[in-house]
Amino acid sequence: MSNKVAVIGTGMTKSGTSPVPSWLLFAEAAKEAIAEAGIALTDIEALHVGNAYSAFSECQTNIAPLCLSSIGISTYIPSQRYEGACCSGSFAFRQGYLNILSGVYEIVLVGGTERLKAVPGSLVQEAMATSMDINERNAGLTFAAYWALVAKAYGRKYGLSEEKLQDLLAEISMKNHYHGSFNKLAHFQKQVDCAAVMKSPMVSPPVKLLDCCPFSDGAAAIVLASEEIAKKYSSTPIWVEGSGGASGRFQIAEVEDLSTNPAIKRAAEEAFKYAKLTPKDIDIVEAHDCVNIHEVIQLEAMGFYPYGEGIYAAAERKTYFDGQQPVSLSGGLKARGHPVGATGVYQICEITRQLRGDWDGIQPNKTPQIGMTVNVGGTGTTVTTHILRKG
Amino acid sequence: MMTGKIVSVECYQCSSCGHATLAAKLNCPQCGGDTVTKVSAPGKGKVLDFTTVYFPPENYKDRAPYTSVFVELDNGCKIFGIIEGETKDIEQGSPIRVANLNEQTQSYEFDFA
Repeated sequence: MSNKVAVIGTGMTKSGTSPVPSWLLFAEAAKEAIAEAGIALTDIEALHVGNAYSAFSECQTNIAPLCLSSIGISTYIPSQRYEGACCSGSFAFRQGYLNILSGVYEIVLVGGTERLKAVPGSLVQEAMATSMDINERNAGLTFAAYWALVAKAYGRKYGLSEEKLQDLLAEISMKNHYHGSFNKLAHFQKQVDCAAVMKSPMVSPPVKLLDCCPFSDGAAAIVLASEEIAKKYSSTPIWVEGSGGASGRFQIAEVEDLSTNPAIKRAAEEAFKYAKLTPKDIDIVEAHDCVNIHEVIQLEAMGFYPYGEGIYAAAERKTYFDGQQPVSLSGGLKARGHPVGATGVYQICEITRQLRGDWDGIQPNKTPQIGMTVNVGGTGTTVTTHILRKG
Repeated sequence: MMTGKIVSVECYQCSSCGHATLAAKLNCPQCGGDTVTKVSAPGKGKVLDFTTVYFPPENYKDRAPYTSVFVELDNGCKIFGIIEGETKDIEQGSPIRVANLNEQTQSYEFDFA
């Protein structure tokens, strides 16, 4: 651990529906990140890019060198694509971070990209289902049904009626839509109240449609640099203070207690250990609310709230922009959207801009110094956390 | 469906501690034992939890809404399967049996015991 690693450039496309394939979408985000960093294309030593489902949604694999080609990088640098379901993007980021930490490279381009909306939703659902255990999905279990079981297990453990549970979960969707209404890159930029969430169609009880995030197209890119390079090129480097990873139980049937996820706890503890920080030191968080109950599971497992209390955080406004620890100023997956393989990189771009003070969205009450991201794939099976610090 | 037939379930059981899983393992995830063998368990047990699926995957699109049921077999192996139709007359702890192995999806279908 001889080196420090910084984010010196960020780029994000608008999350939503893209007319161009994922590799060109990535090139747009990368161009913005490279321009922000002020480096030349020839300075980049490696590319790591996250993408989950291009094989299904675009009939294209091996997209890392295709991304290089689309940017116009012709220097024969190595490039790799990472697939870890919804956690693909932050795997790519983490790999670039570890590359620089190890001293092998000094400037690495990382990112994530996904294009899902050019194919029918049923195909996307089928593609996403392949990130679950084959026996369990063949048994008729869906992602929404899994989250329903998580929500039910949580409600049972903490003595919440189904109606009370649904009310508290709707508060999380409302909070994220409120934040997202200020984010011009968000998939949905409109406010949604609890009544609308409660009235939305039932997907799998107690989970309703507006408890869930959309699928989105989108790409995000980051230029990572060593301490020496970062100080040379950037007046506002954002330092990667800690990175953590973990894997959850792959078969849902083998999870001991669905109301929590020890893998998220492990990934958070690893990031906190390297950063020498604790949950109370974190000013802002970007969480992975693919379904709103997941935000609760993360905030508790990461140590921000005691078990059984995270469910009240949005209703008590603690996770709002003006609360004690704002969560997902971007709007989260619910409103910013979920370009699956890019989501984890969006989160890090968003925290970076929030820390630098150039975030084009709703601002927290207190100027943040330290932020954290949590990106989770599959049924809680792939997890990456990152802690970023200003100055 | 109410034939009372009990279909057995192929699962993997640890020779040391008896822990059983539907998914194949080379080592026991519970005790670390290195002898896990394939066994055929009687398909009867109790309901751990359930939910109704209104938005089905492609391979179940003709069957929605159906109830996704999480079951613990008498040998401790936990499995998922479905019961036809919307959720009713089912609660945690309800006795249940595996009534059918669906050849198309290679998955288990339950009925009340």
